[in-house]
Amino acid sequence: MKLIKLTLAAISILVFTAALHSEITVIKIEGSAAYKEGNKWVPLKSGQKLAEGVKVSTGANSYADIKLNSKNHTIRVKPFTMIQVFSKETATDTNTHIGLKRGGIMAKVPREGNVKTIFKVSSPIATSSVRGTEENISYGPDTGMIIEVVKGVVEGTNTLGRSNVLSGRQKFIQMYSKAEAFNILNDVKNASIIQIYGNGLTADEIVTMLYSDDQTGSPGGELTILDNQVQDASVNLIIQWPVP
Amino acid sequence: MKKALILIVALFSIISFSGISSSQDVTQVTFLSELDNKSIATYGDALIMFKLQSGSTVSAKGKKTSDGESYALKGYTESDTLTKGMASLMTARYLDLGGSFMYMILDIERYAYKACIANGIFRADGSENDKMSGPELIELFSKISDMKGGK
Repeated sequence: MKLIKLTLAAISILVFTAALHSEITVIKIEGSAAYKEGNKWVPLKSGQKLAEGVKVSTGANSYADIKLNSKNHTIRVKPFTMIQVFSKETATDTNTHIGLKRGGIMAKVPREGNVKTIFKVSSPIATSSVRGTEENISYGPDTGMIIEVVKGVVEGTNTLGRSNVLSGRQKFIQMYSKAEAFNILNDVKNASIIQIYGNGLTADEIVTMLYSDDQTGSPGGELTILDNQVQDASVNLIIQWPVP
Repeated sequence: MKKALILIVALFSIISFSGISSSQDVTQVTFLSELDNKSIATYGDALIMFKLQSGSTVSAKGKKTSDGESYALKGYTESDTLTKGMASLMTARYLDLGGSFMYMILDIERYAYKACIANGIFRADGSENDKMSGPELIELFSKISDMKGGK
């Protein structure tokens, strides 16, 4: 009697666990992409089903498109990337967690009415959480973790629990040595404003003139232009907010 | 004759649909995995990475560089420790970088590093003499791949 109960319990656990796991499927491969089986890297194939917790790595000029569940949540694993994928789903919710060891991925997480979606991408220094969006995420030891929003809203949280909600052209950049991520509009600012000095010279132009005496390179040339380079400047800006 | 033709067509279809047709270089993934664990990368590692990026395979390791490989540096052996300056010069040549007037005049590591900073490849708070680790070298190639229009 006890044995029957035990067997029934074991079967129920097995059935329940099987229902929790999503079907992780390789959609497309270009170049060299492999998954880890034991201690060996094995080439990925289109249409292949992957196990929960699988490690995937791509080589140069390569990518792998992977479908994570039946809700069409997909990622593109970019070149030189290594990830580990965990994905679970039931009829009412999906729970996907991707460990990004290096490189970058592009995630597409379409919103579906009453399905509760948890989609997290973690690196050693931060985590991104998305609900109904597209995003580019990369991680490396030099530049840290970068989250770019393509569509929708994303939340970036560092290991100290400090978070930023991102949309539009905002970018989450968390570096190793910093307690907080950069200002989320830093990238927009850097792309829009360059530092110039007196007479409209850039830092490079000043260095060139210092090395070559003047712009024409003639010895003993005119260098007074380099005097008083640090000056105050007034700028008029017209800020136009987009009409929603 | 007809049987043989059917057999050939069937074999071709099986190979195409199973994904075997696109030859994958798994040694490349294994090489990257090993490089990922290196605390100090070498000039040889960088050479291999540029060869992979240019469409070659890991088996090209140790082979003499040809004239077309502009990223190859003179005066270094493959076992020499890789610095950000060396990687910058190789990168600036490979990507034909602009952004630094001084680099356009002088093709040397110091100004190549500045050109790489100007193009967002390296951060400004380092030095061209900094040694590079394996993960840093792989990260550099993620950026090169993006700049080359990676997928």
